[in-house]
Amino acid sequence: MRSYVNPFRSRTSEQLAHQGLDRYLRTFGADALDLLPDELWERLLLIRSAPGAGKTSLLRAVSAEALRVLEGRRHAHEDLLERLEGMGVVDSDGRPAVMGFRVPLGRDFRAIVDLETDATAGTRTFLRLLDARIIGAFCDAIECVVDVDEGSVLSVVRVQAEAGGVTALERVGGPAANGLRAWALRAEKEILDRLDAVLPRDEPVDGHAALYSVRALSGSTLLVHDEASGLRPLLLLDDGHELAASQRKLLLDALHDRELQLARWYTERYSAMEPEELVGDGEPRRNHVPVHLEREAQRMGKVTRRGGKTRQFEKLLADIAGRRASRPLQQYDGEDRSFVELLDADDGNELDERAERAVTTIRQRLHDAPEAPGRYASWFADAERLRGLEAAQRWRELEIVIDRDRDRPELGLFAVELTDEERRARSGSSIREGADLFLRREFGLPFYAGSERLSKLSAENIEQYLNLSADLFDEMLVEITLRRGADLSRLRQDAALTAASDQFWQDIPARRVGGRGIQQLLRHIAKLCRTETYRPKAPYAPGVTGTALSMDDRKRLLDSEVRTRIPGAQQLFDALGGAIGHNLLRAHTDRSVKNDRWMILYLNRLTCVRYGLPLGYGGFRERPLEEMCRWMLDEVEDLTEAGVQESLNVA
Amino acid sequence: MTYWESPLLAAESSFEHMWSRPGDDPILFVVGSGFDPRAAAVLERLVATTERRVDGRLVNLPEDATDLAVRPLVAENRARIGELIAQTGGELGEQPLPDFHDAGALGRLISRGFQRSGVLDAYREVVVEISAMPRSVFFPLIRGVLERAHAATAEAQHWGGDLHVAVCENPEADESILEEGTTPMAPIGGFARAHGEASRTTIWVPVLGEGALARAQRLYQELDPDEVCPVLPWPARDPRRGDRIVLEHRALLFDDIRIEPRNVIYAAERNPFDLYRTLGRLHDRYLQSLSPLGSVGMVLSSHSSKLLSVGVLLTAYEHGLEVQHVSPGTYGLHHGGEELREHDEIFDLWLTGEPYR
Amino acid sequence: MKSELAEELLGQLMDWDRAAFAEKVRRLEAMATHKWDEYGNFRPGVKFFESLAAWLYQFDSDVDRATALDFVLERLVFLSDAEMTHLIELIYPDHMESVLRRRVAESTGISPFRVRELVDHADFTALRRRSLVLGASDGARLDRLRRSAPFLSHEQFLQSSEPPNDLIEPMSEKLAEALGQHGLDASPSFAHVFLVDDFSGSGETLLRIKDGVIKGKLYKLHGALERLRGLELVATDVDVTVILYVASQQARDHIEATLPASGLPSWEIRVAQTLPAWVRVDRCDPAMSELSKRYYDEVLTDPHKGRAPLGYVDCALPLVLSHNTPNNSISLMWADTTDEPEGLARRALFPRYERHHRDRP
Repeated sequence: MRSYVNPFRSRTSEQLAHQGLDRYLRTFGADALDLLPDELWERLLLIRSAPGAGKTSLLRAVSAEALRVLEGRRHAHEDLLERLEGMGVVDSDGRPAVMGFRVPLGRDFRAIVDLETDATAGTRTFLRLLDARIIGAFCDAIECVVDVDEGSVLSVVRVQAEAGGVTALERVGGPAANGLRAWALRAEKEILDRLDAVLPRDEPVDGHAALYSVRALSGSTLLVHDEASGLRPLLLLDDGHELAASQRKLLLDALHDRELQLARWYTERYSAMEPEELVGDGEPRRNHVPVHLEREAQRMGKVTRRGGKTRQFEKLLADIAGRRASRPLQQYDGEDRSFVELLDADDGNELDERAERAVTTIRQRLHDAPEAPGRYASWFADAERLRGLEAAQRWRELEIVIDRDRDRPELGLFAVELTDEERRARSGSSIREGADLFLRREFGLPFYAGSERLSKLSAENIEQYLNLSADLFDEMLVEITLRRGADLSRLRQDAALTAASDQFWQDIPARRVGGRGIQQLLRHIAKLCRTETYRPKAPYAPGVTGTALSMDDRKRLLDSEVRTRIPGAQQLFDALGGAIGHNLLRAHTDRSVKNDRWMILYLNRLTCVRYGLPLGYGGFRERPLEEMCRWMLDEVEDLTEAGVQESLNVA
Repeated sequence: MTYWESPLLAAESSFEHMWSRPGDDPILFVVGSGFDPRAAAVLERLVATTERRVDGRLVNLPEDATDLAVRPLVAENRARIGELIAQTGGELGEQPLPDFHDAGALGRLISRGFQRSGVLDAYREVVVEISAMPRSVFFPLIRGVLERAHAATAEAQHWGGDLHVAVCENPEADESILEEGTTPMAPIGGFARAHGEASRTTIWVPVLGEGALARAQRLYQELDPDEVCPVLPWPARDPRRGDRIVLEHRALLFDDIRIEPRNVIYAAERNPFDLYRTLGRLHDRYLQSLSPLGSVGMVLSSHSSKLLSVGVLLTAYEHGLEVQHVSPGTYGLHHGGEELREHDEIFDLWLTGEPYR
Repeated sequence: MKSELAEELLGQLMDWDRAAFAEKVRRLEAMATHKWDEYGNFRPGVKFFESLAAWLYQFDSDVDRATALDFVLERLVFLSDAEMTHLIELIYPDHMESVLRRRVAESTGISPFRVRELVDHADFTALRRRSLVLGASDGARLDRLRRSAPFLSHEQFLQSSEPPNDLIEPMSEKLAEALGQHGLDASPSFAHVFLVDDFSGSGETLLRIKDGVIKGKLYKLHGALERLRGLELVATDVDVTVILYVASQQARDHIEATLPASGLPSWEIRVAQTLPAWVRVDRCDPAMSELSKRYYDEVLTDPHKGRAPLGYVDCALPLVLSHNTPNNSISLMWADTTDEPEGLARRALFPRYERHHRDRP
């Protein structure tokens, strides 16, 4: 297996200056750009998401660096270029029309608040460093995207500011690009040397009173050899949640400025545990375009973008997987089917035995019931005609429907046989999914398998999807090594995904601060979900995968005063914040259900596997605040669902 | 210029030999207010060996970085340290914990506070004990003293004294420490990139150890280096220790990074100066061979013992290298951790002063 | 053979379930890439996996194969070329310079803590130049040692544990020249000897007392130094430091016990990497120990080694060196008897090139 590379884990072997970028572009689904709205350039685009959702990837796709790589390798990236053209990022010849320059906000800024002796100095240093980073990134982008025949690029580029920005431009070293770069390097070095000093430095600080770079670039024109380049600068600010609160506010205020004529995107990690922030001039939400990536992912397939239909997020993931895996599969096993096809390939005989057992057992149970077959006779007869897995699924479905049916008050003395149509009316895909879960528990018939379920497990998170695909591909490599072809049985997929779920769980304390508290919270939620899901009548079919806190309770929890008064509240607050921030819980705030407003908290879909829960976002059971707080104080056993047993031997 | 070409490392019995030197000057003993059961071990040994007066400086560390369960140990350590200092007729001073928003800034704040207090100027011989201090604190603290020691004699900030860095090593105690979570990658205070310019080529040199896989993985993802040269302990008490570490990091090294076997580097488990020499050689080699490609940035990170991390510190200090760091979010002790004291080994690295004049 | 083929073979041989297969093979792959494939004595075209498959094939039962494989993953100590090189790199700074400094501190009365002063002292420079570095075997890799000790001159190295006069004479002349060039006022005789060797498993090659007769390299060196002292090529107060790159605890204990009984001066023995007693196979892996005894091929017994199921002098080491496996390691690791007409056709995992062969006097 050693000479086999797992394409979901490691780098491509091609040697390029930006090998990471090319690899990333290769596997970045063009569809991902459909997550972005139609309006992109006028107002601030405020992008929020959970970690790993791909917001940085989106930014990279429009960065000058990427556009450079794309220009040079057009045939390899056709659909990406098509999308970018639709957005106006490249022109019809594939040349960059927009020049994205990315400024990560996670480095060095927050510490300024501590390292500068007073607040004013801190603010001035913050603004100056941010200006330096913005200008520095701007110059780097110019070098990527502008071509010159000889000499340095920056020496022939100039920024022509609007009237109001001329002074600001001078403050940051302009108008010549050379000057901008020199200023940015010098300023950054000065500031970083000062910040990084381990010996006290008491000389006064040289800082900025405002964000000059943004003023300077607003409405500006980029001149190359004194001619307008037609390039639109796009400022990409990434990871705003890393800033100190005061810094973030300052920055967002500046970005919300109505007068600003500069394309600007800003990203931050989503948190449902912060009070609704007011952004800019007391006009919440109006002057920016909000984008919540996970929600957009869920809406894909249902909305249009730039005049065209979007494809479902699952298709995007399948594309990404297909692209990565196709060459290795071809090389290692002469396999032409795609990764996704291999996951969905029809099952072999492995399951027949189990299915048989299931059919026999369930049939017996139903026949043993006092009223059997009675009104269900034709249902039974229909089921008898089926074979294998299909039969097992039908019988279990019937069992649930019949269980529910027994409660119906209209059950009279008339045993009129129910038709198949009536079965369909009382059943549905949710019940069938519930039946599948019950079959897994009772008979070890795999549930967590197939490309659709794999997509669901990714929880709209590309990184999670790639990690799971990597695990499945590892399994394929074992099969290939043992010369059994790359197909992966549903049984094996279920086992592998269960192992991945367990590993994901075990990694929580190592990777997350407050991990053990988070695990405690999740265990309680999982226990709740399991109990509800496996009720015989499957009342919440296919099951329950979350809990909910009323918006009022949420408000109370956000109040630090209240937290001191309720035991367990501080721990709950910490655990909830950590879990949501790290994508271990998906929070949907302000949902209206049953005449009240709720914050619904869904378990990360990958966690659902180890607890035997379904994967759709449907059922949840709300709990009052006091009970949730008590969870943090009460130990609870970790009751996981048994995995499917495989017949295991290699030889 | 290599500062530590002929360095001085004292272990165990040589420690006693070193500290039974006659002298009148008092010794300043700087120690962290941590929960680590080894916190007072060096001081115990020092007090038992020397006739000189020992004054203490306790550096206060944040409490909420530690588990509730271990906080009583903090108080115990503090009391024991106080006792030992008093035995020599010395005084125990405390350095208050500064306010901070960003944990990454704390180390620098503590170092600046230490220097501002002026305490260093009153002593000619100082021991900085690092067993109960996190890396993020002792890296900048020691750097500050080194910068002053290496400043030109004419400069006001020059300090001409003897700096010792002491640590109590105990592999079992290491295993019993529970570290939870990972924080985002950030340079250790005082060891950020020397210049503002981004390097064209990044070479990551992690000193690997047990139980730190998640943090190494995180660093790899965030750093996205062009080349990786992992450092394994060799020679070592357990000749298979390097192999075990490789297997623990198997997926990271062979599946994700796909390292070249020839990139693996070795450094003595118990001699940080060997690490210092080896990394210095590596740095020179890369500088020579890769410079046509533009600036080369060697980035160090330390995932092994504190003793070895001092080797990382010295290398980064001398060559102006970046040290990246992922902190655990919280620290605690596995049950029974406070009882394991059988295999304590004391080390003293004498870094400035007499041996170097 | 392509490694995947060998892996498939392994899958057939071992009684593994799929998860164990995946896990074990990945670990074996990692170690093979990291170290084991570099072994110098495999047959041409063969690498670790193929050797492993052939080795495991000879065992009768699944239990035996599992014991053998677990031994490889958990106990085997493979000393790679890179590791050996690193040991050599630290010999001068950590073992030679510190010894010389100590001597100079004693003779000058300068505090041993004044390192810079000592190293800059004329006496130190002189003593260092007056040091002789003797390689006790090829394994000492004097070429590498020389490269990593730039302060030492070519003319200080000699591949011999029993240096003959006619080789030392010219070296002494060069010494005189060098001392003169540096303006050092010291006698052109060698004042310190470093005897260097790569590996000692039992210590017996270095020193042993058999039937009242003292034998071994240390003894021979002592004799040579006496002679050289008579010729004033070596100083009367010459001291010897024995430096071993790798040695077992058994070897250290043996030499320490034997030195006083031998009447030789109490020379310091320094080891860069000790193999502690607990890595011995008879201590840490009784099952493998028993397996090695059970599979021992009598055809291996010969006058030099005696009977050695657990290696020469029952050292029971799990050690492989990158270029060869020492015969102090358990025989199951290194003994290949496929070419022996009377033998049991045993295969080795890391076959040993035998220096003393039964049929080759």
